[in-house]
Amino acid sequence: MMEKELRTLMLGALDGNAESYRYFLQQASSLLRAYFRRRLTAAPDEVEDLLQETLLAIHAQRHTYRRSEPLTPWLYAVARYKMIDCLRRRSRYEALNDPLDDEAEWLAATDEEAYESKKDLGRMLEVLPVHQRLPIQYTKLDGMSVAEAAAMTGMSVSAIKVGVHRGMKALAKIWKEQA
Amino acid sequence: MKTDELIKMLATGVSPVRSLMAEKLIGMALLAGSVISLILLWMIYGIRPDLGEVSTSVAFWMKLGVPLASVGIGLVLIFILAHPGKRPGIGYWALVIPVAVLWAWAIWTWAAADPGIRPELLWGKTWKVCILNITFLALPVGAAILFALRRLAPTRPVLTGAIAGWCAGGAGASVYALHCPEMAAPFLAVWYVLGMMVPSAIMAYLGHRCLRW
Repeated sequence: MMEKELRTLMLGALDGNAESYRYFLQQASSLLRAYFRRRLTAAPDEVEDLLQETLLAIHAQRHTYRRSEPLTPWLYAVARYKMIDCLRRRSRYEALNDPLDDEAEWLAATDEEAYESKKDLGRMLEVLPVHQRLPIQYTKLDGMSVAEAAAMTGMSVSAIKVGVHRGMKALAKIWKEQA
Repeated sequence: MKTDELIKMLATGVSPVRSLMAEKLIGMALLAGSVISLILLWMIYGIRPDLGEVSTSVAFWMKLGVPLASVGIGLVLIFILAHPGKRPGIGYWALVIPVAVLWAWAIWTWAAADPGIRPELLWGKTWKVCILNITFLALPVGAAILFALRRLAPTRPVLTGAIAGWCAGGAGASVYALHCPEMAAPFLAVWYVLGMMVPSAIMAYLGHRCLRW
């Protein structure tokens, strides 16, 4: 049932239906949040960071989902990949740092309902070159159409589209580098 | 940042996605890389002058067929590895089949040969340059496939890189076979296979470095 519903939403999203995509991402978030929680019991306050990183990866890699195939194996494969990547980074970090200091902090910082990560989108956008940052700012945050953003920046319509596409991919990369 | 805000941002103004055909992308990369390899072969090494005569021999087709089969099997596996959540319909062991056939042929030749000519069968006249030449001719193919894979999402970057390198090595060996004068199976079983393993090892490392997402 979940598969059928999610897949319908995703197919709508791939055709450019924003409402369908938003609903898909929300549903997927609940699923993946539970999935990560069960597995990251040692670091519950990293769940939301990981979830957001995974959402960005889903977005950047959505073209690798094939419409004819079941969606959930794809979704969980992306999630598992991101989780392993995250655990690897963590163990590298802990090899250099004393993890005991952080323990109490994790427990204290765990807020069940916040659904908020420690990442700062504004700071990450600043890292992007201007021909990627402005298209993302105008079309994805301010909700302008591509044509409006093009008029606003003096860039061509296709330059806006390319800027958004490349910028979102770059964001997915910067995401895991920001502490 | 709140997860809901991120979701809203991702969904706002989302553009339709063309299904990007991995087969097309990787196939084009293989084709483009192979054409460059062929041009390099033609310009640097030259095509063996007796190609017309040997092209009727079984040995020549074995020599060409084994690396080509490796390319084919490797491609099928890469297509699958480039997509998250897909399980291979064929096992990874399938990659071994062409090499096993070559080795069976080599051992049979070796056993049947007069002990006096065995060193000649193994070392040939060009063993020193064989690995290097195959690796060199594999480079354009390997680079092209790597670029294609960077646009896809392999969840096992090292394995994907290794198999892509094996493919590139197979393409390099197939191209090199048009120049290389060696025809003895033991030679091919050792030096051609090593020549394909070097690009595979290099690409496994590059997979680790470049194919993470």
